[in-house]
Amino acid sequence: MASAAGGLTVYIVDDGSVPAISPEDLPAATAEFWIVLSRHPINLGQGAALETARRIALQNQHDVFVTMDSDGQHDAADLPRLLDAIDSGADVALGNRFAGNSNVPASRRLILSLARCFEFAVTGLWLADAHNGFRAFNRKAMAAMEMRQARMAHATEIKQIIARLRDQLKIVEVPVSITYSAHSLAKGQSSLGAINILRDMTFRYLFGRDT
Amino acid sequence: MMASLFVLSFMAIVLVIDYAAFRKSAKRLLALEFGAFALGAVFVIFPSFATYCANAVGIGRGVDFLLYPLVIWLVRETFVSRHRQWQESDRLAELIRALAIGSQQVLSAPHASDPPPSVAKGAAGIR
Repeated sequence: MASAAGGLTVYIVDDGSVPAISPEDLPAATAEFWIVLSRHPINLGQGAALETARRIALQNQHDVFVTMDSDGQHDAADLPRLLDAIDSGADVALGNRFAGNSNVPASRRLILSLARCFEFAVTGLWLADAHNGFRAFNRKAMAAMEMRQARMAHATEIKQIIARLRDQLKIVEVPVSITYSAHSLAKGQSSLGAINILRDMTFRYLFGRDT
Repeated sequence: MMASLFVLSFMAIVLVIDYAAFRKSAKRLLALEFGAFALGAVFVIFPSFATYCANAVGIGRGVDFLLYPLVIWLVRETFVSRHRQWQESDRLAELIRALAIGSQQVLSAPHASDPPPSVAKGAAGIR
């Protein structure tokens, strides 16, 4: 999602879903803001879809870029708060579910606490919410966020990029609410996903191309 | 003796299968495989030769003489194939991304206040 001075454009990447998202699935929204729909012919993962959206959105002269999960957990009402943070001079505004009005299950709270410590060890960033997909970037920050992790490890990869550029980027955390529902918990990653993230990061470190 | 016959038979079967599969497309690979199996057969038929080689390089048992290089090769092959797999998945992601960027559609927004976003050359354009 990206906003320019004049308005809003929503970038949707269909990551090989079956059936595919068709423009007819998005009827009401098309009236007031532009939607750019693209599709991965096969499923690559959330990180790969975000990277595709990032590259498409960067073609346009947007001022602010916002990423959101599409499982219904994020509340669009929090969007102005993230945009305000960027307008106030931040380069990166990261959502913080623990400061917002969120019903985080105890097991997820534990996993996120461990993730917070892990990310501190990996990146040196001590963030309140380690894996929140609701984030805003200005153009300078978004241009630097090239993601190579195709799956869920992209969240840590983003923090690694931010940590690398911490002298050049102003980072703030903004309260956002996350609503966990049966649907979102079923659709989102399981707590065991942390192991997959660790595996992907290790393999990328060992076998991936140097950045 | 029985074990030797079993191993030799197994090697012969694998060679026959691979000969049928690769005789037209990969003759050099087949020759390499035949050479490796022939060497293996020498060690199976004359186990004392493996012990002789092991003693010559300061390794106690003949089986260790064969096992050590095999383990090193296996570990190296695992790393190389994993590295190749990551490179291939990166290439695949770039290919899929190029297709997605090339086929993006801008859905019409009759009440949008800003001009339509630009799309990649050759993309579907405004629908």
